[in-house]
Amino acid sequence: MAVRDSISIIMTALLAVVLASCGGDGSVVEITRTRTVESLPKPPVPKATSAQRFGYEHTAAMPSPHGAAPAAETAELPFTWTAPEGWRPAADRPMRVVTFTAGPNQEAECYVTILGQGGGGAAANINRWREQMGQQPLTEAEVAALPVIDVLGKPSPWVEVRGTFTGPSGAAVDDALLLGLVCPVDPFSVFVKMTGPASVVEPQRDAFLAFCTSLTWSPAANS
Amino acid sequence: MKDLLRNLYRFLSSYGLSCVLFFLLFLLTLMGTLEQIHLGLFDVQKKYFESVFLIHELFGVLPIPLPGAYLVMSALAVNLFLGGIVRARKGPAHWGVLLGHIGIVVLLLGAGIQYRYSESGNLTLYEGEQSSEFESYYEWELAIADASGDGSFTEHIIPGRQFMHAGARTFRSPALPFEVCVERAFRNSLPQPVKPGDTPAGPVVDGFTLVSLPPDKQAERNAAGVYVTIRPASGEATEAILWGVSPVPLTVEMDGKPWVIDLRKERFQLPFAVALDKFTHEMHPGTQMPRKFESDVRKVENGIEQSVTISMNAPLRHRGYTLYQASWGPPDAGPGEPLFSVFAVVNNPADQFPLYACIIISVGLCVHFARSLVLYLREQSEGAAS
Repeated sequence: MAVRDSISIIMTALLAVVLASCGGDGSVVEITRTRTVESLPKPPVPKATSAQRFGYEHTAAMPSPHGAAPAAETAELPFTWTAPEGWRPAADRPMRVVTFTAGPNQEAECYVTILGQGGGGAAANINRWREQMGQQPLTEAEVAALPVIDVLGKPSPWVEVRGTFTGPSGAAVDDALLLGLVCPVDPFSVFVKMTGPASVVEPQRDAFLAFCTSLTWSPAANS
Repeated sequence: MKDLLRNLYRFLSSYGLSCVLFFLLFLLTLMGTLEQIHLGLFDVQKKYFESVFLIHELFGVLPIPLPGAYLVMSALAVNLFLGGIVRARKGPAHWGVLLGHIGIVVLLLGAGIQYRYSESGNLTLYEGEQSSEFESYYEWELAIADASGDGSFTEHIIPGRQFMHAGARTFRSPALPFEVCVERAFRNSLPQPVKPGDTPAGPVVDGFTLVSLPPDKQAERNAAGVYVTIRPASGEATEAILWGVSPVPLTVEMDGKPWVIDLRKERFQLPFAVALDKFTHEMHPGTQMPRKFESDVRKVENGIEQSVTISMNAPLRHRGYTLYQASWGPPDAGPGEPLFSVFAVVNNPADQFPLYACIIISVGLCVHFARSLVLYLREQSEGAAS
């Protein structure tokens, strides 16, 4: 077969493909797909502002986090917060009330969880954090001696742990810093935690503190 | 015309075309692999292996147009079918090779069916939970529903491919009292509050602007965002930003009803429900590395329940869907905290094609080599006898 024939065939095929890929780009499109569901994956919050929808602000009218206690029972959270400047809301994660990332490349992660019945107690959770950082557990007396700050009207232990952070995937972050706060609010506890490379978390210390102290009881919870 | 068809047939079934196609596949594999230094796996797959054409930037400078692997493999399937099966010699001496070619065509056909018709995503369940839906890793959709429904909601779905890479588009349905116009779409984005004195690049809606971010190398971490305008038949239009990872959907009042508009990962329906009864996991001693994790689930279909254990190498296969044990969480769960199990869900109508192809190719090679061996032994024995 002549080379010329091959070239003409290839060019014809290319032209056909190009023409086929230049389909009309209609600006008005009919919605044809529907699906019937028993419940909406994200419960609606009437009149939610953009700040609330994007996680920058939280109000008591917002839906509860997945599986959190006791919010799951009351279907709403009893407190609100304000995100520090520069923090980015991150994707909704199971068990977490809210997640933010911080730092120049968003290497630091901060999130809030709520556990019913104290979540096993402050000492158990603080030592679990220390274990994740490759550090030895503290005694009850050492936990009692940790500095406290006032959050939601309760003296809350403040934790700082340096070490190698190892998550459940096994991936390790060397020279990491963990900032944590355990706020024991009967009948549940609020946990605020930030982890990441120490060089990124260190400059976020004030922002983390500001975030913790921004936790405020909603009017509904006080009434 | 007859000559053209004959030439076309010769060209498509030629050895030369096979060589060119194999060389192109080698090039694409090499370039695609190297490109993963800069792009994530998902983007490389889209650019090099699921495309018709692409431009490869050699050393980041020299643009080289290339056919994509989708086009090359389609052409290879045709070439192999015409050249390796239709045009090939069919005597007993060639049965083995013929079977081998048929096996490769089946493999390519399976790849094509998977690309076109498969669905994949993940399903997350806590102990005691049940679901019959799973969520895509990468694809997005706009879902619109009347939130005043009680126990049953009809969602109107706009697939992401209709608005993520297109210009401004208006979507409508006779069942909706408004049109939704997607003005701009970003693959990875962040809504940022606008302060006095800021000069944002994009429009400002309700004090926020949508900032476009570079795509994440791990494509599943991208957070899509869109500017939309909701236009009722009469009355004022509503502008809004929708963000893919927003925990709360947009709610608008139309005709006295609350309508929910949500940008989210595409969701798929399973033809059965899965309930997680128990999740168990074990760690390697003294580490946080998982050694074993498995889920005791119930498959619920038409009121009939069946207990199944899904573990790392034992997926649940049912009605074309396969549920693999993928991961679990929460990452730092304390003692006694509820755990969730994550299943990777795949619906691939051609998932058994590689097995069939391997069997056919193996049989073909066995036939071919067995025949060669018999001929060789016969020649040897005849040589010895003479």
